[in-house]
Amino acid sequence: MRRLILGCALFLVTALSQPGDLLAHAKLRRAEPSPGSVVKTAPDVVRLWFALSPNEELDPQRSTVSVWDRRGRRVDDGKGGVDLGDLDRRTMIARLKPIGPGTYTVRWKAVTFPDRGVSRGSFHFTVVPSRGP
Amino acid sequence: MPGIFRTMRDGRSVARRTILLVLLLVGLGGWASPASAHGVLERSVPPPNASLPAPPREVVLWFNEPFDPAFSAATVVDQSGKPVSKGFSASEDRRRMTVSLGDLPRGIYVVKWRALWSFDGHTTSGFFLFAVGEQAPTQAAGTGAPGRARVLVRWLAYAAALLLAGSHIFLLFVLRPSGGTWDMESALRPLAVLAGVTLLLSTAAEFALAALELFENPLPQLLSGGMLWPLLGGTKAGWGALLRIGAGALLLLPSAPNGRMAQAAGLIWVLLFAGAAALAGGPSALLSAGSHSLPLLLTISVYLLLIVLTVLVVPTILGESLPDLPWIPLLTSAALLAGFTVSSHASGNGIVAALADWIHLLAASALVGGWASFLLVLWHCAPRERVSAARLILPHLSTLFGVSVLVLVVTGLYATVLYLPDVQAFLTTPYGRLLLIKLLLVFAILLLGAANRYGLMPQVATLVSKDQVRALRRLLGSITAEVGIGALILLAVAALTITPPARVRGETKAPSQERPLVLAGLAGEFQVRLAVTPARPGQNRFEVTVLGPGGKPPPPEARTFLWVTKLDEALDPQRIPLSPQEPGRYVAEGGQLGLPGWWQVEAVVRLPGWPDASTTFPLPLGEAPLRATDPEAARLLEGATRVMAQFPSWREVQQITDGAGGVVVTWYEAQKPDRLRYRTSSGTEGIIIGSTRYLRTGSGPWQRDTLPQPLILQGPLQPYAQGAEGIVRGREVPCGEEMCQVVMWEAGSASFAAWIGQGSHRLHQLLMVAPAHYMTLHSVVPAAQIRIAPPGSP
Repeated sequence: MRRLILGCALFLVTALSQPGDLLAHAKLRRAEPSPGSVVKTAPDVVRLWFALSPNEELDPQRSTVSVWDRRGRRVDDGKGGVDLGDLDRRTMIARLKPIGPGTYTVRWKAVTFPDRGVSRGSFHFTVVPSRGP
Repeated sequence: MPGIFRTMRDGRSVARRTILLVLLLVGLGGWASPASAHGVLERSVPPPNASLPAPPREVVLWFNEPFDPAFSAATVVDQSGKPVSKGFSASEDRRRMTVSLGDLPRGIYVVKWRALWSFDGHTTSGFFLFAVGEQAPTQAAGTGAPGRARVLVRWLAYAAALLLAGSHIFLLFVLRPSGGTWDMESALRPLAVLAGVTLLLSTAAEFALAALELFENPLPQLLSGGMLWPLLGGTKAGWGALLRIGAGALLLLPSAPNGRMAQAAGLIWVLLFAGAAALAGGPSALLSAGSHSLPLLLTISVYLLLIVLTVLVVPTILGESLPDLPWIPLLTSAALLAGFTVSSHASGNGIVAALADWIHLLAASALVGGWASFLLVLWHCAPRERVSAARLILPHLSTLFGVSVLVLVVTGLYATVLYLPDVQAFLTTPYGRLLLIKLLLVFAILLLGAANRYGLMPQVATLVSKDQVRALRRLLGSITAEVGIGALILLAVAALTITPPARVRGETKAPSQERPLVLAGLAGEFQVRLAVTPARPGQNRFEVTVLGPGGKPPPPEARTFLWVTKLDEALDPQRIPLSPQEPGRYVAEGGQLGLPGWWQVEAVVRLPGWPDASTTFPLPLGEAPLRATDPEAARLLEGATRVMAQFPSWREVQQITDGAGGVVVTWYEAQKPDRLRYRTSSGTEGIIIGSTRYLRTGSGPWQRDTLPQPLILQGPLQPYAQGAEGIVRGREVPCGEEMCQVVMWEAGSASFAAWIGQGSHRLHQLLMVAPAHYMTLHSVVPAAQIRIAPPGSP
């Protein structure tokens, strides 16, 4: 009986202590500009890094990223998605049109290959006017 | 062995002696072989020291011989020793263990296994490491290293048993016929007692060490877990130990009249019980035979009562006239040696091999025990009597040795043929090397023996008294040396019995020499060749060569890997990263294709800034039995055939590789009912309209010929689905924007696997395997605007 309880406890501990990156969904690890940050110079690209299990990657055909201003206008070139320059397929990139000061929303949808686990998310960053020249 | 050539006259030719010597050498080489055995771990998934990108669902171990599931197990623990395995199961043929695992985090894991082999009851344990998500350590992996303690214990048991049995053989066949005195006989008693006690202790220790290997906490588990009797009565290791202990105890009985009676009665009982147990399949099977056990117990108790009465009463009646019963100790010795044969690999190789092993042991004991007993008797004699005693004993000893060596040669030759695959195995396998060491020792002992027989023994027999004494002293010294070498040989024997026979190793080495399966295909603009060695489930080597446009290798920053997907089972697809060896050549090794069945391999070439270029190959591994058609699968296939047949015209791409590196890719355009246009990767273009075919190579002129049968197009899937049998469903996979069901079937000599959309019933991909044909059909799309006309027409 004691062994049984011990076994169950061990099982629970191992089952619950799984690191997140073993789940089938991509998780946003970091981004540039980073979520919630305030930057002084307007970026021309937004880059997102994802955490995936070793056997997975982002599906370039299904993963998307877009950047929007406060008025709901799209400020990227409309082609944002998996960065094909990253051979690990763990990065997404959106190229921005020239933008001014303001708060912008980044919306992403990450679809994993091969099992098509879908995760979505969004975050903001703010561009403040840099002090005059 | 001083008397091997007793029957030979000194004048015989040297050549003949040499031939005999060589024969002896080879024959004795097999001495230990029948007693050696062992299951070994043939392969595993994941293989030892593998570094896996993703955690495995299970660990599968394949062994070369069946194990006893009651005493065998495998577990997986993490680096801190915490078990991570969830379950253990043994296959029906008892050669495969499967450990199921939960989701493993990154880290290094240890697979521990232990097994009790059905053939010989020996135990082996082993371990190896694998890593998930990180580099695996390259060092530690062990298979059944039983350690010095087991070699020592086994050596002690062998030596004691051979000495004990040999002293009785010496007594009966040498000392008594040569008129040895009672005093000489009593000189042998300490040897028998010492050997007997050593035998009992070492047998018990050997059994305990086996239990130690089988259970982590042996004594408490043996006693409280009720495992003692199953292990003792239900396994060959236990049977051997029981027989050895029983016979050994009987041989220790004093040679007084009561002792002799008890020994005779005990032997009869042991033989009866062993015979009944052998018929029933082991002592535990005998006693658990339900209703039979009660009468058996009654018989045993009545018999025991009779024994006690006989032992107490008969000697008092008969007194000094009680017969000597000289054959009883001899038979008991034979039973004792049978205790070694029971738990030897020979017992798993049929009755002839077991008998040969037993006779081999008897002959060996006559030699070993004979030397030792002869020395003891001579040492026991007063110095002045030694020469006369030696002259009395030596002729009979020579006969005994001659017969023993002859028997050893015959049984040894038989065992060598049975266990050694070829002459090379002497050098290439650990078993063979040990055997070689033993052979050299045997050679040394033969030289000494020949020197004794032809040099010293005639001197002892003929020279005058003073020289006789000197010759005898040298003879004794020489025999002592022989006994020492004999002990070394026994040590080699003890080590041999824990080394898997060369034949076992030879089989496991074979796969690396297998011819690879070479699948070739086009991945975008890259020519890809994938060599899989061996092309069967288990540990495989993958070698990929990639050539870009113009025959140039891809740039160094290119990355190449394989995706392997099991189509008949919902296992996670695995990515096999390939490491670059030289420009355009990439290699990996792994056990990802561990299970037999329908696999699909996709070779991917990835360049920075570009979408992946890939090509897909079918790869069925192992034998797949034809299964009964699943109605749901048949309905899907029929639906897909119908849906695809509705296209009035379509495009498709077909890639066929022959498994030896050849490939043809064909781009088809088809227009119902009888028009087809195609272009192949080798530069051929064709147009078929009905039974007329136009062909050209490159931009050359069109050639026209006539097909034996007119073309009739019914749909992209129709030709392959015709005559399908054994239609079954495989896994579900995402495809296009929907989920696909993999449907597999057989038709003629070909096997098919199709990806069929669950909603649309569209065919997304078709894989086919036939002898020397590995086909991938993909990009099947309807295209309304296709109009196929003869070449040259507007």
